[in-house]
Amino acid sequence: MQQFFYFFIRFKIFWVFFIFEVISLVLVYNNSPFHKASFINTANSFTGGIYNSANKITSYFHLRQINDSVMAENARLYNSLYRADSLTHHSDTLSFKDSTNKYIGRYVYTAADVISNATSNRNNYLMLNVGSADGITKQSGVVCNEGVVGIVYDVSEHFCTVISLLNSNAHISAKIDSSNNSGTLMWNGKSPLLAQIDDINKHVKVLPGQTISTSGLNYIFPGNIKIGTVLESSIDGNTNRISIRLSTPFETLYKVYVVRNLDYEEQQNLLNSIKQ
Amino acid sequence: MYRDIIYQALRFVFLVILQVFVINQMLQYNLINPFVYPLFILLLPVNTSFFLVLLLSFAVGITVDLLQFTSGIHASATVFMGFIRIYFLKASLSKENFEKNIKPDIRDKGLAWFSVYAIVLLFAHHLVLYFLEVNTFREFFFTILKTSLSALASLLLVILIEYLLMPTSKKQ
Repeated sequence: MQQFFYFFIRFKIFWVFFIFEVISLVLVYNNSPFHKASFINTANSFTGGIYNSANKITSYFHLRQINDSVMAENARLYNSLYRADSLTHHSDTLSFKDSTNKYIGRYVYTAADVISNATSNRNNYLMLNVGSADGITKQSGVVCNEGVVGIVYDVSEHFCTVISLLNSNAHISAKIDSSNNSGTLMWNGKSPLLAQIDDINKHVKVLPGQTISTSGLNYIFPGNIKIGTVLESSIDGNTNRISIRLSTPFETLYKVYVVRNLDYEEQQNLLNSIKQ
Repeated sequence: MYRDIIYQALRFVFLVILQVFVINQMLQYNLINPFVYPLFILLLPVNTSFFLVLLLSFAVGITVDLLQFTSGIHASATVFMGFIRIYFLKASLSKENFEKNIKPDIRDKGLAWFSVYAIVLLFAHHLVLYFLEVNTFREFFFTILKTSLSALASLLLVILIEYLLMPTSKKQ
């Protein structure tokens, strides 16, 4: 026993180090959803207030940029409204009701401010100033005027954390607009401007400049939301290796929309029943 | 005594705020990603007990983790750095230094010694941090490159902050 204590005391620095290191590594590697969620929740309540007050100050600096972006978005919406109007009201012969895509109405958009953002880590997260009180649920999509941002990961009462597209855990179903071939969008951690798709079959011709948008296949995002354009592609084995220039300016992201799919639970339940 | 504790506490808050709200907001580039909050551990007086060094390392790491939603990687890296610090100081300082309870900073030990001390510890910190972050050895050389460049950037920032914050009133 004495030997044991002697042993412990002799290496006491190491043992204390060991204990602290184990505690931290348990935090890192504990993948059980409960622990991850409770860490993020603690982070939510601890940091939500801090980031919110910091955001109140810094948001003034970006007003001009935000105004420009809102005006551009407004103009785009006016344009599409005008086109729809002219088709339904000003033409006697042609009136149409879009019955093929009834999912359009099943997505609800909520505007939100980005109060914390990062692009320099391997796994980046954002925090928004909307939460369960605003009707936000987990697994909602997040988009901005320019493109896709990420997926809501956890929700507290007034805040939610978002897995950015710039995260190794973000897998978003994307498609090539011209050919409708879909694949999984991932990020290799090298540059916040570029993302990758590695699982589109090699017989599909992918050319630089083709546009990439959401496929609408993963029930999180509606289809046809812009993601970016193909920068270059090469064939590797049986698949295309595509590098994509993202249209979302992740470094200057201030205003976003949370997109909630009202049918998400129902669709997931159906999928789960297939798996069982 | 109390003054020293308040001084250290202010430094803790200042460095964490500087890291999270200034430096992390300015970063646009993934290869170079400096961290300055380890300076808090670097500048603790040499007679600080090993337990306190490791405890404070854990505390500052977990604070940054909470602010950035990275579960535990900063805490692991900083605790490892605190551990290295204990042995580095034992090996590189004389008995007189410990008796006088000097601070391991530029004013007491000179720029050359401090640079070596800081780069060793910062490199250890960044190495653990980046390998835990990518969580694989597949991107080995990229991670090593990132670690080295970031450690150099951190060193420059740390020296700069030290010169800016050096208490002039205490100069003898």
